Amino acid sequence: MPAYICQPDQPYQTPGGCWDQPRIYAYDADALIDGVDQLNLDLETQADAEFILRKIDGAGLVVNPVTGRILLRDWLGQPTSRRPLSAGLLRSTAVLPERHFPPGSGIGFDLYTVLRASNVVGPNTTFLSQLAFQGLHRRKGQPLDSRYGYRQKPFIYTVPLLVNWLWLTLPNYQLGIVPVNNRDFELNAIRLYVANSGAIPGPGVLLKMQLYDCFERPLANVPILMDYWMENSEVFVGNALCAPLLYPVGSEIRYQITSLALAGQVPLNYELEFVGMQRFPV
Amino acid sequence: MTSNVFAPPAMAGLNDANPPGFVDVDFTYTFDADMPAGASWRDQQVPIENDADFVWRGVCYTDIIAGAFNVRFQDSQGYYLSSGMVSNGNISNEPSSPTPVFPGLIFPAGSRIGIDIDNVAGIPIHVQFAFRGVKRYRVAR
Repeated sequence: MPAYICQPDQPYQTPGGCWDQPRIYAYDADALIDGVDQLNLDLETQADAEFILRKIDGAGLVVNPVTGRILLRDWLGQPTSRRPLSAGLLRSTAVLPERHFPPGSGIGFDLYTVLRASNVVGPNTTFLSQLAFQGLHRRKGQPLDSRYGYRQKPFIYTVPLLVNWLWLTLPNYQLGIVPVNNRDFELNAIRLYVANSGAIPGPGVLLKMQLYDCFERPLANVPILMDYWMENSEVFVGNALCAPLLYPVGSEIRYQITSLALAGQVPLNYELEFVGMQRFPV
Repeated sequence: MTSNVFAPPAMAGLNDANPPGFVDVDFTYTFDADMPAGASWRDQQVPIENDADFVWRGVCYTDIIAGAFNVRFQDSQGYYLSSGMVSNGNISNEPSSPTPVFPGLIFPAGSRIGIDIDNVAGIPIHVQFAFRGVKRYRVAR
């Protein structure tokens, strides 16, 4: 029985002197052409933090869900599989052990038989074609933490979300702000519920969202499909922030909602929930 | 505050399980079975690359042309991992939760994963298997 460096059943610990922040890199396939192969694509990671990849999702949204394939590469350009994987094998797929991408490196991939998921109404189309790489940014320094001793209680910020604007109206996004009052708030998950009885059109929720931390830094490289954020997504499983996100008292949860709806698909009436824990001073 | 209790373990983070002197890197070997109706393939092989041992920890498949099949795997020494053929219904086709292979099986660099597979669907089928695991590299001293 070999001696292990650390036991897999022990809680995961961020290395000393570093702190983690959830991060999603998404590749927008909107500009690609259906039916062709797109090779040597690259998604550049941010230059100020190491990216740690833990989950890949959405292959079936950018290539043909049945016959399409994807070959992923690490930051050195080495393939992560012997041959391209069928889209069906890259659906909410965990990366174990986590894969590290140094600051300013790139996530490489080839797409075989591109087929963009779309929402079509008459002559108009919006694309829901994003390949998502979920994980976290690891930065050097001390993590943001509460300035007081605390005990935690579950808490949910609920926000009514009425989307009554279309993709084609400019601007097609709106900014939302949730003030964090009274106590520090640790965000753990995001949920979205349909508040009216209407069915959700298309393969998922017709929204994209960008989320910001308490310093107004975005947590994704582009606004990403709402289903990638949602813990209760019916399209993808196992969604969660890879690390908790702290909003100190007096800060704000900022988010930007982009509508992908077309004529006849609004209004969309949702309840958006920021789920986590409030920290009570002791 | 390093772990999100709401997240599944793989998302919240798992510690490395590599033995001292090695580093594990996520890797997937694949096997495509594009089979005519009634085909019965024996001693198929997935060659393991020469650069590192492979620790096999899970398997799943996806249908390209769906149909029932039975399959049996061998380790690198030709030892069968089941007493008979296993129905596809007993193997995960959900990549988010592959069928675990526990304890992980080590395939030395340059060896192979052996596969017997029968198409029992009565029609042509095409499935792709994903052998999930890690490449285990020796760290230079």
